[in-house]
Amino acid sequence: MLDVDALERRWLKYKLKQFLPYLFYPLVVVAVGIGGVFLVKTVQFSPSVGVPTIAHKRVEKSAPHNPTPPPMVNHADVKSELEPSMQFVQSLPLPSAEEEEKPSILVQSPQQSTAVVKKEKSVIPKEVSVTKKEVLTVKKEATVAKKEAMVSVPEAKVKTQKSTNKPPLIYPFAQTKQPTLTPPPSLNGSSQTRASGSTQYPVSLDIHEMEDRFKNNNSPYVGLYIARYYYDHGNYNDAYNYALKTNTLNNSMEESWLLVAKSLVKLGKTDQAKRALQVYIAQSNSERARNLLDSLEGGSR
Amino acid sequence: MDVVNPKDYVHIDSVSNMYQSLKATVQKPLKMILLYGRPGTGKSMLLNKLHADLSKHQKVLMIDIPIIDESDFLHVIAHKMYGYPHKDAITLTYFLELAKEANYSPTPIVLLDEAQLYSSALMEKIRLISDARALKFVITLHKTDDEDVIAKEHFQTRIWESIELQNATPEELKIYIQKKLLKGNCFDVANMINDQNIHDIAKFTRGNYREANKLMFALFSLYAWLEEHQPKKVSYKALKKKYIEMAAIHTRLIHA
Repeated sequence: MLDVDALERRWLKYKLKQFLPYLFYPLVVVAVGIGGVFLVKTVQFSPSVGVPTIAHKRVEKSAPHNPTPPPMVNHADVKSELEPSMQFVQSLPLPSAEEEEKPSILVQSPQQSTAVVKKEKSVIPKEVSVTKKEVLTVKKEATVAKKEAMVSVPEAKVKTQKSTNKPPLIYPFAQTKQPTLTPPPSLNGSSQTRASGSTQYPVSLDIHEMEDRFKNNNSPYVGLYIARYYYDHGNYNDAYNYALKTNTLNNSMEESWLLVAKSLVKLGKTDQAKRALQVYIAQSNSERARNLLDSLEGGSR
Repeated sequence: MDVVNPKDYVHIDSVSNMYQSLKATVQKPLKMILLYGRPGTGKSMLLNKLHADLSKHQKVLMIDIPIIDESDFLHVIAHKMYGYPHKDAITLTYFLELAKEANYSPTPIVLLDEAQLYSSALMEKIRLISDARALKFVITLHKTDDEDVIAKEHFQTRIWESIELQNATPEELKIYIQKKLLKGNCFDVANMINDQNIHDIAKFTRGNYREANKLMFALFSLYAWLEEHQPKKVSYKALKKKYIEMAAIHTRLIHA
């Protein structure tokens, strides 16, 4: 005889077992979905939380080796002044003797002599690759405009440029396509330029390297650079010496003549300065030299 | 209780073809014929049907319950086949002499059901009797997964004809169930069984005739109980799957 009630209970149990997998898998899928969403959210938040944690762990690991941790530096408070490196100068192709002759010819005209000054550009390597001829074809108008821009750049602005990792290096052999952003130092005797202090030079180590370089290749441009550096740093003796050496190498460079004169004036040798200017005016008829001479004779210097 | 009655034999195309093939094979001068298949595939039914049909024309002995003892085996056959009167044990030599004296034509047939239960020694004697053409044997064997009895040496070397019985397909099972119901004048019940019911029954029984019989018996018992105690639950349009499953649970076709 059938026990139908017991049989029905067994049947219910059987049906439950039968449908359990169908209930189980959707539950698993839902659980996996929820877990996935949670995981995604965790991953999204991890960059802001996880990185410091890892850094902290690293510090902890290194703690036994460094019992006294280095003082925390607040980079926001530190005014780091980036000193432009002159290392790249060594890798620059120096003008050959022939190439150096070209500017000496061009300097015959006052317009093109200013174009030589134009070569003071930024330190960006790409810009350095500009050829010498291109430098020499820069027109005077552009150069004058750059000079004006350079003069108008306040010191604070220059510091801002440093902070953006774009050191406004003034380098006589570098060529830049944006002269207003990297004003070259003026060697035109403009008192305004010197007073502004906008001329920036590499660190002292680099000037020694420049001196070594000058000893090796006797480039008048390097010599002029060093003379200008020393003049701007108040070392008028060395400024005079290097300007004189530059004149020896290339006596048609207006800048070096002016530097000789100005250095002599600073050394208290105004008469020698006048004589030097007169010699240079005689051979080049330089207006700037004449102006300087006039100012010396007028006692304004 | 599983009772095999040749009157309950249901004609199904595949089984009928197999049966006709078996009948034709029996007429051949073969010594031994093997009928094998899984339990519940209809071997015993077929053997009983064969016995019922052949006994009208020739001497046929059906041994559905195996006789394990060798002397008993020979004695029973000698008694029923040749009218051996004594209850004493009989030797194989004497048995063969009795067969020779009887000289029946055509050769008498002995149908042995569940032959896997016979010992090797007895099977060897059966082989000797068949080789002497004293008797023809039709034996049935269970084909199991664990032991392939057919591979046994006795049957492998002596069987000249073998027929394998298979489980029924759902279509065959449908015909089988409906014919059985019609034979029992259960026309309304036969109409209640639809294809889905047959699909469920075939799924639970895997086409096994014996299991199908058991399931149907349990199912009708359940319906009988419901008609008596909860008649509102009985629908006469179709068999409810729930009750088929309950019957399958009861017959242990489903482990719940």
